[in-house]
Amino acid sequence: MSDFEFVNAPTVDSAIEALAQWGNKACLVAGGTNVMVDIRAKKIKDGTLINIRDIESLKKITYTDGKVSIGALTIIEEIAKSEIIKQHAPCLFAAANVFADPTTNRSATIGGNVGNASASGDTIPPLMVLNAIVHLKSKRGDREVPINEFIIKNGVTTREPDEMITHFTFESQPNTGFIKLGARRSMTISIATVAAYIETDKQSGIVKDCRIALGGVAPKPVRGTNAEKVFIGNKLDEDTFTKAGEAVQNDISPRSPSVRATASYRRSVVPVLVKRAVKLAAFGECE
Amino acid sequence: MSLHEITLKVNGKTHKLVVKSNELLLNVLRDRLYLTGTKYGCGLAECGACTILNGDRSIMSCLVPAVVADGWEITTSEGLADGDKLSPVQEEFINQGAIQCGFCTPGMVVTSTALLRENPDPDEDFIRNYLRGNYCRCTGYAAMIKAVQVAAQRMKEEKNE
Repeated sequence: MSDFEFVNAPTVDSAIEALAQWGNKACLVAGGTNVMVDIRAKKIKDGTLINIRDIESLKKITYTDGKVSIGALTIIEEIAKSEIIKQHAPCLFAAANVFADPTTNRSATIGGNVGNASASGDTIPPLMVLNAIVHLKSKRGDREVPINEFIIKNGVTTREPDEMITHFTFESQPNTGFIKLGARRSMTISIATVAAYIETDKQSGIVKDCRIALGGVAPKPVRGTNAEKVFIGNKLDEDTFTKAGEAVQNDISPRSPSVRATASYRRSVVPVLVKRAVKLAAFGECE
Repeated sequence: MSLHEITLKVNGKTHKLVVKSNELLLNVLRDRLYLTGTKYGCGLAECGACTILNGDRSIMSCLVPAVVADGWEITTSEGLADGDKLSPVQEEFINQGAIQCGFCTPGMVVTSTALLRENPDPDEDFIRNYLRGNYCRCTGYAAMIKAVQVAAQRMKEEKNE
């Protein structure tokens, strides 16, 4: 086990104090499901772990005036069981329910999943279609960044070394859906994920607004803007789904060769996943 | 590197230890408290062989720096039995032939214990989902699911007596 220093931060104030003190060497750790593995893999060396696992104030899910707030240290298990999330953000609820496995989900936090910024991070596409805001805090002050601008590339975000994610906020969006394709059901890093938000005119069935986000199919989670344009102004029929499946090819850039699936396989399955995620968002089912 | 004084309550016994900042809880349990039932499998939180209980909740001890566990009340597979009397889960793993090479067994038994503390009346889907992160490379899953079902039944009957 490579060497590291360790600091306990039981409050937000002590955490941002420690971040300011240790600068580039600082590494926040809560559940450790990424950080401890990265230490073992020597991706993190000679760092100072700042243990934020016990900051209770960042573990809350609340709903007020149409707005949902999720503390960064909320564990995935809480999200997977939350009635608030089930009702107001079904896409995030679905992602939490297919995340890792029940024991891991008692350690892993949503702040860690987003902060780790993996191209396949399962909570990120749902937060993108929810238009979530990432709330950051440092000794210099508070900052808000839209999730859609937060991730620069795989593993890199706009978070400064002295900042920590405190919570996420977004407006209630019941008409969202999420689907994950992995090689198995448990502990699997996604081959591809799709989250969708859809708003249709009740009478005509024409799509008024749409957001699609995809994970695992580009160097970072991406918005499916070309596919979104196809949906808006059209009905959710086979013709639209076919055209969206073609358009989404310009949104994604799966690498080849890759560990979990070939680029051509990802390109083949993404249209199917987009269709299912949009149907889940619009109708609550995809069959 | 720094040293930290911690208190761990493991299987009902309190231990005061001085641990290094980079010492894993898993290694403290195995190498310093000689509780080798908890297994070092993948070391990457993939396999579940190192699962222990913190209170009633399962956690993988390969993910936890020992210093983080200061004050925790831990149960390892050694702490599930009441003296020489095995727990219903342990007994049914034996009765149902749910053990092959045995390496995953402590993690399976501990996770199954957490499962039954959370839900004393689980259906098969619940059990399959709950154990989905614990890997058995002998692939003896069917017998394990049966073991948890029979253990649940027995615990219910014992409670009603």
